[in-house]
Amino acid sequence: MARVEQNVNLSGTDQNLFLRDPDVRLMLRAKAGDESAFTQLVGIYQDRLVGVLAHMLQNKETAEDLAQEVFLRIYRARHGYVATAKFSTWMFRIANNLANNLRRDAGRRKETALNINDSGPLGPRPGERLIAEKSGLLPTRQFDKSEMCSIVQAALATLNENQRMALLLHKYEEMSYADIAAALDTTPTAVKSLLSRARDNLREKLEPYVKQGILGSIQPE
Amino acid sequence: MAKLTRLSSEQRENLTAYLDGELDESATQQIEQVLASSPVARNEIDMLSRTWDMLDVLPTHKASDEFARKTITHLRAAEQAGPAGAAAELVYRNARRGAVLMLWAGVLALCGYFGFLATNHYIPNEFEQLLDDYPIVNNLDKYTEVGSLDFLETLKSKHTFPEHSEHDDQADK
Repeated sequence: MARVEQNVNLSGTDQNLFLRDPDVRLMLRAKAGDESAFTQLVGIYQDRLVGVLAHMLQNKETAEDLAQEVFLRIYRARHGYVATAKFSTWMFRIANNLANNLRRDAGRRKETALNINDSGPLGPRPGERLIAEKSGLLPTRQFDKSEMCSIVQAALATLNENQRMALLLHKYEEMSYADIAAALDTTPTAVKSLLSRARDNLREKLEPYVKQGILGSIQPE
Repeated sequence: MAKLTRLSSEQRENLTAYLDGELDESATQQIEQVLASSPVARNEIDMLSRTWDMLDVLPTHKASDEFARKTITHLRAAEQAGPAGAAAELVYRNARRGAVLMLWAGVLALCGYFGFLATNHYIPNEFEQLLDDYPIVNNLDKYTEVGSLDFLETLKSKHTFPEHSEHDDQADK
């Protein structure tokens, strides 16, 4: 399976393939004025979209607001909709663009907390500190699930936005590299590098816990 | 020893793609050979796989019960506002963008103006000195012939020459 090297150029046959996607067909019905088709799409994708955005933004409330905005954009665009990708790919591309806009606006207003992606001149950021502090406790005690969850979330937060989105789409949406490339408006080869770096970074942050056998001994909450 | 050397970046990328089932047949065979011969690669792929599995501890976020209803209501409200609402929003966005651009242009113009003033005031202009000295430069030959001011003062006090000569009167006419 040579999906990594696959070209994403669209031909008429590709467009026909997208028409096999039941969600594309729902979207075409919504385009034709069928309100219930769009309601079905919201029902199908609400949890998936909110789930990915909540991990991406690490805030469920903001994720729901953004998910609502995604559906609004799709709804407004329905009259000009042409099936050029799977519906989920198209939806996550919109979601990714909006998430990027949100991050840029937040950066401009400087209302958000410090980005925990990189160590700054003042030393490690909170996410990195959490990982460092927790790993310093090894192997004297075991971790409960909520602690492990915080550690994994902090490790996830150290990835840059593109790495995180690619990783989330791959993990939770089980998207192929080609679909992730379409959602992030890049090439499958770039996605391959992106995911490799993302998983290397995760490994670097989480390896101490794996080596100490913490993974198999997470305590229930 | 070669089997313990670090993996190249391409091999590392291929390891991840191998785990994800995204390699073609030939690349899969290559990476399987590397795995068979390199303990480093085997350790690497094991760690990548196990740290990937740690993501399973993350909670599954679901939309709130009200989400679908609120979203559909929001969409309908937006639809009722219709193209006028969307157009008004677009106009507002463009106006805001225009105002920001104007503000930046104003700030740049002010910076340019004050920069010009500061440059003009503090940095000496060689031509300015030349213009100040122009009357002297223009009559330098006469001043050189006169020699000194004392000599002129002496001539003036002795009234050797009348204040207005006939030649001057004719020139005036």
